[in-house]
Amino acid sequence: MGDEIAYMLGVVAAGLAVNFGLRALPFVLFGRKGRSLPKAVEKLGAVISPVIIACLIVYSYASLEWRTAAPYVAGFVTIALELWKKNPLLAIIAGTLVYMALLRF
Amino acid sequence: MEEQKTIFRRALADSLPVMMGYTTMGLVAGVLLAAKGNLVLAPLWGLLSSACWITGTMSFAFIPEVAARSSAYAIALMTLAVNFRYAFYGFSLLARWQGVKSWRKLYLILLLTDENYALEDASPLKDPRDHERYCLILSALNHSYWVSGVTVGALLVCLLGFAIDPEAIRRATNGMEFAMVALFLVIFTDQIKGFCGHGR
Repeated sequence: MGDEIAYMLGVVAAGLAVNFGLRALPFVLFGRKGRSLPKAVEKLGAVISPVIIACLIVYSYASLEWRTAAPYVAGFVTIALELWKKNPLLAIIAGTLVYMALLRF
Repeated sequence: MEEQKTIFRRALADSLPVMMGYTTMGLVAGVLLAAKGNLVLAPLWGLLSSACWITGTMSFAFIPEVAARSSAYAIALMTLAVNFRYAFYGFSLLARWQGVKSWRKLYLILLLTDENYALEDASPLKDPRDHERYCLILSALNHSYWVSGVTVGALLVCLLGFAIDPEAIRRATNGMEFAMVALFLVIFTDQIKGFCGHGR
């Protein structure tokens, strides 16, 4: 058991260092107190978010049943409800229920 | 500045879709960790890894590695490859978080998951102090959902042993992960609407 604890602490520390390091990178590079951001970085920050979200959508579709129609139908329902009702929670819950139902038929 | 209560309600409401995803995905990750990880102390593994990493992808990907007793170095390299996208999230939050003090900032950075990032970046709160409080509450809530999901999953397998069928749990919750994808779809829809000028 002592071996397992030592191994566990090593693995957890390694994962923590990499995950935190990646997340901290922009702040380490440009986040110092009292300095203003370079213009290019400020611009990047403004345009990068729709690009990231688009990538996340593609990336998360790959882990769904993307060879079937289910995630696309559920995605359509989600977007349509958000545009129509402007209620994110409703759109998300309805889309998820549609997806879960389609998987089970 | 908005009232403390309003900000809490806002963060709680925004965290609900994340709760749907984190608790179920966390539960499945915890069950698999205990069932397939070849570990004596699975609940402790679940607690520590979920509390310190807060990453869904790696919480699944590292299970076979741990079962095979891969080195911590190999798991670090794998994390780097799987989670490289995290290195880009900070760029759009740099300006808004400039005034956040030391420990709080470290916590917000540690908690920069896909979902936290998407919500924090999309938040319309103008006052930096309001936004900071919103981010702290949202991060803490989502953190608690994820850690409890994984830990409870691992504990279930340890305590109830053969009564738990990992496949059955996976089947029952199958599809709940769409809540996260739907969250990204909604945020993307609003971003595009904003760009087209209809959203204002």
